[in-house]
Amino acid sequence: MSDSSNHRNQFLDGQFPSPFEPGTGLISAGTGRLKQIWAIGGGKGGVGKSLISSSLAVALAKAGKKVIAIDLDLGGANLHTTLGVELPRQTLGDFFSGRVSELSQCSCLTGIQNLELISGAQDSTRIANISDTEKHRFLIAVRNLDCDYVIFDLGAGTANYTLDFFLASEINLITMLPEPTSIENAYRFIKSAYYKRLQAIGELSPIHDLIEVTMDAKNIQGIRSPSDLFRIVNRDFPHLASRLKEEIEKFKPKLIINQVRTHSDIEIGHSVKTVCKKYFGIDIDYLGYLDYDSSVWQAIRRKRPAFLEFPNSKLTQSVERITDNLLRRYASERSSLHP
Amino acid sequence: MIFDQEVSHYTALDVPTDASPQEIKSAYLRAKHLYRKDNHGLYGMLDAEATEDALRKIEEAFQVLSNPELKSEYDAKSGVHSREAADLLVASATHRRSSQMDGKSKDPFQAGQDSLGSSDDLESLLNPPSTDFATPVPAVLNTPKSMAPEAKTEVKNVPNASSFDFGRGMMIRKVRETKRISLEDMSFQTKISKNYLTSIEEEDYSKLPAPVFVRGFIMQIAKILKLDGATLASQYIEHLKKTASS
Repeated sequence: MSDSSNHRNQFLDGQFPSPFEPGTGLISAGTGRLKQIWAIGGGKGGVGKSLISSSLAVALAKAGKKVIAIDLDLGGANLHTTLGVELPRQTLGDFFSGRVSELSQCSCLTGIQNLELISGAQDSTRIANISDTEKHRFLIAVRNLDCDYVIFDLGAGTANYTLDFFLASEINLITMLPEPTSIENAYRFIKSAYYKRLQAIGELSPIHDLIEVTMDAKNIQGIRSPSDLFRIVNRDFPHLASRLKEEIEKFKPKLIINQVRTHSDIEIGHSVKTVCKKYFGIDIDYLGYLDYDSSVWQAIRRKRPAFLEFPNSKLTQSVERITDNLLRRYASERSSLHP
Repeated sequence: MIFDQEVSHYTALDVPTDASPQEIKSAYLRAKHLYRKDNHGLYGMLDAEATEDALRKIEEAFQVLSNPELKSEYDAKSGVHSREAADLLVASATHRRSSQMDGKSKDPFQAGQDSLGSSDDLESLLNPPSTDFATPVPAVLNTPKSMAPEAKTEVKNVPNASSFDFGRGMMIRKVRETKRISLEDMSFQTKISKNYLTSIEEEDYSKLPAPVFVRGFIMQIAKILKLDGATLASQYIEHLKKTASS
């Protein structure tokens, strides 16, 4: 593909923003299509990342968008199962190992119109620590895929590559359950992404060390919070303070609470939003919640997408509403950055 | 907010420095609700110590800011109204309101920007802020239950100042109740007796003193309700006189 090699050259020439610098997405692909990446993370395992990823993907596909869902849970890929697809022959492992040269060769049909899947690697031992070069190559390849939307189904935890893929996306979705373990990990995930994002901003490089210190919860300098960090930057690097504030405020994760049973479960989302505003200075968009729904595990046992298996369920309606909200509120971000 | 340069009782409650007693009270209740012990939503973010610390600061802040004497003492000490330059670098939303006020008018109530006639103002006035989510409703004393719900539609239909032919007492009551100010609170803040307040709201003109005093009362009430005192008072007196002469 001559177009893609062309892009690579642009990148080497420095005209092309680094895929690691957040918020630089929406690059016109080789096919001339603008695309938007939705990443679904959340820190903990079993909070419904794969289910929500596949549901959002199906909802987008049903809305007539061309979607490619990518399973980035490199150690424990099972997005294909939630989509009702047999394990594909080509996976991301083949791309990272160089057995296939084009990412699109790993893409397989799902039987759902407009929706393709790129499955996660199976030989997880080597893949779990992919190098920066490989991440780079992958993200550029993603930008060259022929589709409107890419869904990243991220793995649990706060591994470097997970955070990198999360931050390389335009739409940062966080899913959590109304349970202490999940809430704790979600905060950890938000915190890690928050600092890592700031560290990826070239202009803020004079304070990267300071951010590093802040991330160490037991640092001897006593910098405990973003508030401390901002105070010190304001004092010692006053010229960077407004830039720092600007970057902090640009980070706008979106929150979905899954498996909601009671009203107070729903309220947790509001608490998280308020606390993140107060302690991180970020605006979280609380997109909505999904009711606890026993039809989901029935669907999983049938190895069918719950979204399609029970079209009239509350789950399907909620997912459609969330997708709708995302399209309405953020669709404009697709074209505004790169005219 | 992390961008605040100074920590104060106002930042503890996350209210602007010109917040009204009611705003302070609801911010306090919201904060108490957020930091309650069984709020799972904080788990992993704030440990027990941090939560207690936050609660303590909130209590401290409310102790001071809810007491008019302590509040003015605190304001004077911390130079609340004269601090313009402090947040030039990062003017957070919290401070924007206070810095918008120029140095001349120290009393936010005297700004008089709330025009009584504008239906927009009335509407926004009668709609509780959306951030009220999950805030326990503060007790409203002496509220006839039937009145609150219709408040919005009725007041919206208030005709222009020139053509009205009914008193302003009911409107005062509706605005007061919408703002969740009890008669006791109003009496405490205006130093007007509850009997007079009731008579004013019920337009029981026979129990009120001479119009010149009533005018003063209405100005006081308007201040608390953040309404345009001059307009409200003249409208009230006009109806009072009309009723008396007929």
